[in-house]
Amino acid sequence: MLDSLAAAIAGLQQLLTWPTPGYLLAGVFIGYIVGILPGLGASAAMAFLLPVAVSLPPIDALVLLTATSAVSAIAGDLTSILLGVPGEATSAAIVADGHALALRGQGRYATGAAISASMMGALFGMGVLVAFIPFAPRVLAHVGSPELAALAIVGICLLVPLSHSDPVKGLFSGALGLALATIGLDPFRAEPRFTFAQLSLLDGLGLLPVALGIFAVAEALDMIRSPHLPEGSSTDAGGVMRGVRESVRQAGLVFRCSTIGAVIGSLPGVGASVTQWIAFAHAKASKRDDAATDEDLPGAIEGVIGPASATTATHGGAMVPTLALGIPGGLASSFLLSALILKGIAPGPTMLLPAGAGGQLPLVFALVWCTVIASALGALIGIGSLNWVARLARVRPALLFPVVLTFVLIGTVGERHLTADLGVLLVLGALGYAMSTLKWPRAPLMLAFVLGPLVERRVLLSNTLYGWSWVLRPSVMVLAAAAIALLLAGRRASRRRRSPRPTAREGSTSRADVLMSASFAAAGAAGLALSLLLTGRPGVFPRIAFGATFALSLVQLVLSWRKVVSGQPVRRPSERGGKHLIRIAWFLFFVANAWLLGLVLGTAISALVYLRLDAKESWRTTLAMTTGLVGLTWLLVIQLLHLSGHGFF
Amino acid sequence: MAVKHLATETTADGLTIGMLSQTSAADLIGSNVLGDFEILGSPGPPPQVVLFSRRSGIATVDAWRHAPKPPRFGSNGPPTPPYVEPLIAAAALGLPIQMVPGYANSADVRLAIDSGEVDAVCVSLDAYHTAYQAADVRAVLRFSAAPIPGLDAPDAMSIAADARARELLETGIYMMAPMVRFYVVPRGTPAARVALLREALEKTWVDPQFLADAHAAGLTIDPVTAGALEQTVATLKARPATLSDLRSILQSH
Repeated sequence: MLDSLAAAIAGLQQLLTWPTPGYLLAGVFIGYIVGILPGLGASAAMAFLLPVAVSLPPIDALVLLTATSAVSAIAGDLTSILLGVPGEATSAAIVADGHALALRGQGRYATGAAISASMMGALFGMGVLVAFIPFAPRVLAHVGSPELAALAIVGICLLVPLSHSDPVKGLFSGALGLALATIGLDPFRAEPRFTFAQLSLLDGLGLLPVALGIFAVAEALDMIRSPHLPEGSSTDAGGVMRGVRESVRQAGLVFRCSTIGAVIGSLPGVGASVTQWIAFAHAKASKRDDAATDEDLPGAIEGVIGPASATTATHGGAMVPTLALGIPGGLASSFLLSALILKGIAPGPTMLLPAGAGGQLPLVFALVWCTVIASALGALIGIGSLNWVARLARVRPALLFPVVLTFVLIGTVGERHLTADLGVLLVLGALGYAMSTLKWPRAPLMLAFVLGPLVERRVLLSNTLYGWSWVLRPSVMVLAAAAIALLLAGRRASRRRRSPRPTAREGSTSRADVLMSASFAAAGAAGLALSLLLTGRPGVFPRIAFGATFALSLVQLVLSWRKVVSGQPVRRPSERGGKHLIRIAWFLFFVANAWLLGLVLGTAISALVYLRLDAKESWRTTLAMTTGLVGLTWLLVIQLLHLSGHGFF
Repeated sequence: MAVKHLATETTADGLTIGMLSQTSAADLIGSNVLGDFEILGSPGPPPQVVLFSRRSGIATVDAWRHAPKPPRFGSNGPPTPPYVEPLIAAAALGLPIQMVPGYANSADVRLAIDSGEVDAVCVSLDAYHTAYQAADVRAVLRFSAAPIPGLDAPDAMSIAADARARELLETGIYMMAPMVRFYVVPRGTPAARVALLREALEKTWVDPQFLADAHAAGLTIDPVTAGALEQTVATLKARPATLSDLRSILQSH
């Protein structure tokens, strides 16, 4: 105990000894910039910084990387909420409710809640790190494939409460997410599945193209020919503090989601991209305000607080196996591990010994202090810069559309540096827009997409190693009990919220719904037929996923058709079909130009044509906007991401 | 597919350089992909070692041979060396083995070793010195003729019972070792540029700053020239029967 206290003080002293505070501030600044810019996540920033870090003394190198990682997670929430474009993959879950709140004029409220919840999550994660790290080797030695399989299945069970507003559509959406997750090489024999001889699909679909396609494209397209400013966008002055107070009021939710982030995040291979969606689903299931469900009136503050706290808590959790075992908990911590090794510091149990015993405990505490201080500074900068960032949300939507879609395009190619991902964005963007317009739940798709590979890998590994006896392991039984409890809780929540539900829901009885169900059934049947061609283990999971997709879409088709023929009241779509086609056409125009002409030139031409022909802007505004976009795209794509050649310039 | 793309879809101007890795001899020669490339060189192979967890109770090759049930080896899957090499070694030396592919990455395999889910893993000496430094494992077999300081594991070749076993080991593991990470450019790249790139690589391998950085990162640098690699490929091509046997060994799992 005294050793730990002395190490904590020594760690703080190390952190505050010049020039280390300078590197802390540099990390905070870099983290903030990469966090708010789409396509430049913490992992990319750490990859760029690693060569610089190698030339620094160990403490400075590790502080620079840690501060960058800690702050980018907080800053990413700003663009997710205000623009509907995730700053990085780990901020994607916040878009669903955060941006909906912003569209209702509560952007500051949502941002205040997100930043404060992120701060609390970071503190919690560091608390877990300090408390858990001495026991980590013994605890993690009991985590095997059966436990990870059970955990992933528990996560999949969250689809049920997440789909309470329309169970068939919600479960279909989840099945579709599982099906999309099977694209790429199978995890056991490296056999291509649904890749259609496309090199870019061998590694599966990227998380950002999927998240941006399903969520951000729909938000961007809604801006076209939408003259309305967000309600109350200029009157939400006290919103930030109201959001902070809301996070404090929801301390229980913050605690539970931070626990999800820190504990699940401590398991190697389960990063913030997974924990944010599990926390999102849990937060939605435990929503306090029953007045509106996610589909009736999108934008619940719980859907912001939950993933925000889980994401930052995951960083603390991920550092546990990194420091205690030398096993990186995620991609960002793998860069931290590389820096440790390059600086001659061997991660492992001996690292946790006091300095006098040859360990590095003061350094571990310095990293904990660094995360805490950087998170606090990041939160302050985030709130301080909110006025500046929030101005974007007050710009006329039609004028903002090319900016937001450009961010979407950059984020899409920025994750894996593949222009082919624009094709993925095109398909999934159209899908996301259709689902959004017809009120099909989209969050279950993302949850299933991030958990699908974990479920497949770990269930099949468990079967290989233990047969079916793995389901009887005590730890698996405990997790199964948790899954059942979640299902029951979701059922209760569903019943509670269904009582005031109207009999005819928006779009659910429209002919477009029938058409959509039929299209999904056809796609599901095609996927099922292709998966039947796969032999052995590579075909098992795709058959289940596509089979479920096909079956559920058929059920929905029957339900929708019965409503149409029974003449139940139909709520007319708020916008005519022609407007949707125009929006899709502009989306296609932007993506096609970016693909054919490169991001810089393609975006410039697309923006120029759109601003003149559709937004009817003056030549002065059009040229000013286009020039600004060219500069921004050039800076991000060519200078920061270092992407050049065909497809980028 | 990726290798074919590199060979046929990229411009042969010397600006696109490929690093072919995680291949197996049978795949490499069988698919004849090397005919599409000019080889530049390799930083050299770190020796591979077979590690067993202490809780497996296996500390020697003899204990491995007489294990009550086949030891479980963790790996990502084909065609990575941790998958290919133990299977070839087990077939050549008559050792029992259960290969468990499907782990996402080496960190996952390491956790599986720690939790006792698998008994053994085949890793490079570099990984042994970095990722497995804190793990409770011991080296039981090495694929390297030269002794490794600090490791008393026997060389697989030294315990091979007959010439056929030695040929399987040599073709499938020892000769393939430099080809686990080697640099190529598409065939058709101007000869002057190929020569320039080869020379640049050779200068890099002896650059003091590069060597210092590699040492700090725990990476073994034991360069193999383009000429030596091309000679190896020619030798491998002259052994079709052995390559066929290797393919059969891998396909049986």
